[in-house]
Amino acid sequence: MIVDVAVERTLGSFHLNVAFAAPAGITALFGPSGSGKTLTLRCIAGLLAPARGRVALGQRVLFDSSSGTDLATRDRRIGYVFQHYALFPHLSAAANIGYGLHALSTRDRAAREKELLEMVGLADLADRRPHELSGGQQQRVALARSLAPRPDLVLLDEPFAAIDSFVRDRLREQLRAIQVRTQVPMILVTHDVADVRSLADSVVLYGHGVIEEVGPTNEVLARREVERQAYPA
Amino acid sequence: MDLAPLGLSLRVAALATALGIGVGVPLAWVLARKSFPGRDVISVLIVLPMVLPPTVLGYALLVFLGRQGPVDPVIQALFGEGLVFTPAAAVVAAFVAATPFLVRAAQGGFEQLDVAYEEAARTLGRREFAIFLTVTAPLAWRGIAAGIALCFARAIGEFGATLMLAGNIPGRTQTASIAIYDAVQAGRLEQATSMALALGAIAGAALLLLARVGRGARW
Repeated sequence: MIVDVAVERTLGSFHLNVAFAAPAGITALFGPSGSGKTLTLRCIAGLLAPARGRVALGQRVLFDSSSGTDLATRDRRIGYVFQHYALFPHLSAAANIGYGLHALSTRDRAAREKELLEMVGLADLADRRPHELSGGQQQRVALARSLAPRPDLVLLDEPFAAIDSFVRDRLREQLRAIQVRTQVPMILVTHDVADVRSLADSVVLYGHGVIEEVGPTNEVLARREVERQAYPA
Repeated sequence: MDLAPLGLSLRVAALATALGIGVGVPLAWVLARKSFPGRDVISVLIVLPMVLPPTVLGYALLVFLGRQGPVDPVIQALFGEGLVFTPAAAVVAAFVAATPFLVRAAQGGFEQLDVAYEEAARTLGRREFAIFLTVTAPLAWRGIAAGIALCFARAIGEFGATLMLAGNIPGRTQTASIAIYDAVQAGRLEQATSMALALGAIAGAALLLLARVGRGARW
């Protein structure tokens, strides 16, 4: 297993208590909004501290409440595509992508920016500011930015929610292709079963702050289908 | 017109504003982003100088920083003389009176900024100070700039606290606002008028700058 997650955290009256392991490929955290999917992503990225639990990435322990381990977000090597992308509005697409490449020389950084812009098909829009890009283009810049520092894992929070439905399919295909090409494991939060069907290798099915089911996508979706026929709503 | 008081006022306000930026901007960021015990108390302490009469502020500074004050030995050890009735005292008075305006405006600017930008920068491996310089400050610059303009305008007009802490020594601690008071008292009304107009013009220019910033003018 690539990612091991077990986190517990109370926020107001909401209680999150989940544990799952994600294999390589794309894992979807799937469930209704308000079920704690985004909170889980924030715990993995270190943007929110679980009250109890453990987060490990391969052999690296990022968080462990029993030993007091809590790696800072900047040291976790985890890319994050935020729901509204959080692209830096004052920087060009290329500079957004290069933001996490501060350790590289100017020349290496420019080369890596170009490589990523080409990978997401935006080479000719390098100098555009985020507000001059369409939603789909912004999403691809955000994905390229998260991949630029060669992270060990990428988290995507509802990456298609703000995208027009007629370009969603194309962007899903593109994300799938980029995952295959880079081999970076991805965890994707969604409440749209179409995302799960077309993208996810495995699914973590969320209820209200808890996990109802974990498994390969076709098995989980098939069981859900059987249940729906046995107990129609 | 004797330009010495006006020159002193400009220097005092510039130094007080520089100090205000150094202390006030980080303070505003902490207040906007962090929650910790005593946060409300600190907020109140920052607003107090805005609502207290300047004489109370000046008197409080005199008690703490004056000859019998608890901080006086430190000042003596560092500078070899007391603070009271020096030009530095005028800077301190203007700094304490004016910095709250900067903190409030900058804090508002930071609070309006979506924390997702700073979080995104963290996931990209950057350190907090680098994030502040490259993301937070450029995106919250409007609030910060408004705070700087307000701080300078307030500092250049400081009167009560300055009079109590720095006194009224012509050529040494007599700022423009105090020179105006002095001139009126002595019946030198022409002098008072010209200096008042000059002071008003400078503060007005600072606020005009603020208005342009508010409209998003990019020079």
